[in-house]
Amino acid sequence: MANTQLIRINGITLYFDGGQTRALNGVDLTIQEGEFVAIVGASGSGKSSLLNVIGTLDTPTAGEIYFRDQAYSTIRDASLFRRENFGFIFQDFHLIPTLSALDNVIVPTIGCEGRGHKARAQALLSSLVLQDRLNHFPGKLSGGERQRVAIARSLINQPRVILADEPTGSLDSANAQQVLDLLTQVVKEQGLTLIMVTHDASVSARADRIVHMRDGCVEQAQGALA
Amino acid sequence: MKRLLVMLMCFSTLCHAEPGADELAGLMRQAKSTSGFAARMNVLVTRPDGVHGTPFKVAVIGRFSADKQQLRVNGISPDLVRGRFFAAESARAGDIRAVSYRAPSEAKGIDSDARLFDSSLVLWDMFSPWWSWRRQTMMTADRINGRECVTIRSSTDDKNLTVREVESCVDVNARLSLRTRLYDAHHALIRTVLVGQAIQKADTSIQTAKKLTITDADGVVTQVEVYSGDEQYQIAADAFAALDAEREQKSGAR
Amino acid sequence: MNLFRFALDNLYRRPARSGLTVSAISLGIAAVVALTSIAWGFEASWQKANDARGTDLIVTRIASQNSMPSPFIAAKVQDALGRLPHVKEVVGLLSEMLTVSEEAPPAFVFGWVYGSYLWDHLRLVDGRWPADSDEAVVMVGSLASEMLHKKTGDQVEIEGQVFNVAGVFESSAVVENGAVIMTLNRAQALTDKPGKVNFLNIKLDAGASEADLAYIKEQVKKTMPGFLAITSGELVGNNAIVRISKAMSNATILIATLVGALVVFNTMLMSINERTREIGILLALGWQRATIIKLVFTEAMLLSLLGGVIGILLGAGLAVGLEHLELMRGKIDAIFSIPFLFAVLGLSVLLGIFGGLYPALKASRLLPSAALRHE
Repeated sequence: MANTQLIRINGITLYFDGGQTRALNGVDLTIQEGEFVAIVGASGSGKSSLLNVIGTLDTPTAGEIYFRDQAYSTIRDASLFRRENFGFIFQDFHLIPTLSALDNVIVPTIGCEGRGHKARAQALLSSLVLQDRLNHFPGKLSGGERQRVAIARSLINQPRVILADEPTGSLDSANAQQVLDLLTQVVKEQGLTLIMVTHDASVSARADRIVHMRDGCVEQAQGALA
Repeated sequence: MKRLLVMLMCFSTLCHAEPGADELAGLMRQAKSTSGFAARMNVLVTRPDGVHGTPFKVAVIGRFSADKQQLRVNGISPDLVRGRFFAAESARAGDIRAVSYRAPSEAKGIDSDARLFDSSLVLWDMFSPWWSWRRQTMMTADRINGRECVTIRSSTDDKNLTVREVESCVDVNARLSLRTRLYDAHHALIRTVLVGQAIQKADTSIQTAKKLTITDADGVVTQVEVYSGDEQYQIAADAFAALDAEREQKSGAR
Repeated sequence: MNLFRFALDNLYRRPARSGLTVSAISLGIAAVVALTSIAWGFEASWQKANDARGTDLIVTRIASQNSMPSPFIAAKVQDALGRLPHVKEVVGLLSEMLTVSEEAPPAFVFGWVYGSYLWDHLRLVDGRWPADSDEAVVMVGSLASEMLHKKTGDQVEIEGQVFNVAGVFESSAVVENGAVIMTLNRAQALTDKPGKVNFLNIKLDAGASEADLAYIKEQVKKTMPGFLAITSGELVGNNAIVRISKAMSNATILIATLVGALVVFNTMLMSINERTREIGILLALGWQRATIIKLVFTEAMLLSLLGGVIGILLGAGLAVGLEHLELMRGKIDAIFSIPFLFAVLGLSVLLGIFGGLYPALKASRLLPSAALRHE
């Protein structure tokens, strides 16, 4: 694993609801390329907010984030930047119910140049052991299968970083384990960085590093690279 | 101050450009003036019990000039009315003489108040003689079918007449009475004539009725619709021969 | 999977709402198609009647509010007109809308000068032509024959007078096919308008140019006060019924556009409000704002275009159905031109653009994180 710095977070603060709620309060954090970072903490501690800010879904009120030395404040086209660098996985999968598994994976490529999206989607679904489920609709898939479709979807635009918000939160333990195994495997194979918000100690135990959050602050970081 | 008030009142009411009752009656007489007209109309009579009579067509031709006021009603169809004629003229004194005939030589005098073809069409009404009566009184403004009009009461003491009082609601610009109510000597309503639709006469702002409804006090309702007209009808020389024939007959009998 | 299919899928996901929206648009478009084609057909039919007769110019009294100009004594101007350059024939015409049968609505009764060029374009289907200018017979148009249930040898009663049907004719103009024609003398006697006509039809010789036509019009204006010389197109354009039907079709176009755009607007706004979270997800998945705008626009466009196509079919069906309705027969000859149908499709595209604009912009301006938090 190349031990280079990918994301550097410098004292970011995030308010929302018109400044009434403080979600992040002076967070400093550095993430290395290829690292698996688990963010843990109680509900409302700012885990998801941190993930959103890293993924450019939210703009911090103060502070700065750098992605390979490019300051977020200098990014002109946030959606293009997001598409090129980040893949998102959500707790509730957020698949489109009337589209097949294959089409759900292709959705993020709509509006993109280039061809071969379908072949890549098929390959991704196969690598996630869903080759028999390509034309199934989300309603006909189990929770684990649905999340695996969502993982394939997060990978379709060949991002550098996967941002996963409690990806196993809606799954039973057997499915959770399987999904986690596949996710970590794919991430490793492709040399991607994985930042995952989780409640589950057994999940965070597999991370290279665990970041604890409380009241919008990073409390402590522990693990191999901490 | 008093003088100012008087002036203001003068501007608002007394000195208004609107014509007075007598003036308006004169304008209404003028508006009727024509050297010849013809109108063909569909007539439908509904009896008080709601039963419709057979619809029929009649043509009305006539002329209204200062010295000659004559009208003729011809039955067109169906057979019931075909070939039946009525003619009438207004003498200088204001009374209206009417005849009924099939052939002019057989003309018989009838009451000018008589109902034609069992409908509410009455020759006397068609002359609207009340515009020549001496007493004309301006009443209030009103609104009929969305159109503004002023009410004028015309009354007479002429004991020979059935109708002694007429209340007309006139659209002044159109010189058209939108609603005409005829009363007898005891102020009992005899008939109401209501204009449903009007059309403009050529080259003027004057209008004439295209559709009208006549409601009699006894409940008979007559609907009239003009379907064809000629504002410059050429009255034939013998058009009113029946009136002369009847006059001669009468004087011969004496 | 592409944007188009995704948009189609989004509409398919809400079949009731999409169906209602398409129905509303198609009803509006159908009204536009039916009324406009009837208005145009009406105008064209009159035009055709005059063109078929070979009339170059029509002289009539300056019209009042009556739909038909009031009759005038033909002799007053006929000779003066005949002396104008290039005038080949001046022919009087009397037309009235009269009840010909108690079972059928009133029909046009025309009185044409016996032996004049007006008769030349009619084709005799059955029977014979009137024998002279005073024969008390009528010719019945093919459509009128059907509607009045009258054929050669039958009798018709018009204005209390009985006429024998001498023959049945056919014309290229629907107006004439639905009419009853007699000689001018007979029509004048029937309606008690001796010597009178509504129109004088002028036929010019082959050498007449546009300039000659303009000169004649000018001469009539100058030397015949109260009269007007116009081409058949101008006369038709002035016809109250043509004007009313055109005004109605224009009003319908306006109302249908407003209602259609509002329906699309409402549907798309409701749809994106419901899909706020989904739009947040699409933004998170890397969709660009322009792609969101394209998606909402494509959906709006699909709804309005589908409504447009169904509306055109429905409207055409309605107009054709009305043509065959007993009450309307012979009065409607709906015209559908390809450019017009494309214009209607264009109108539906406009509905999509107007109705989809604000919802598309609103969707594209959603903050992804706020949209994701949306319940």
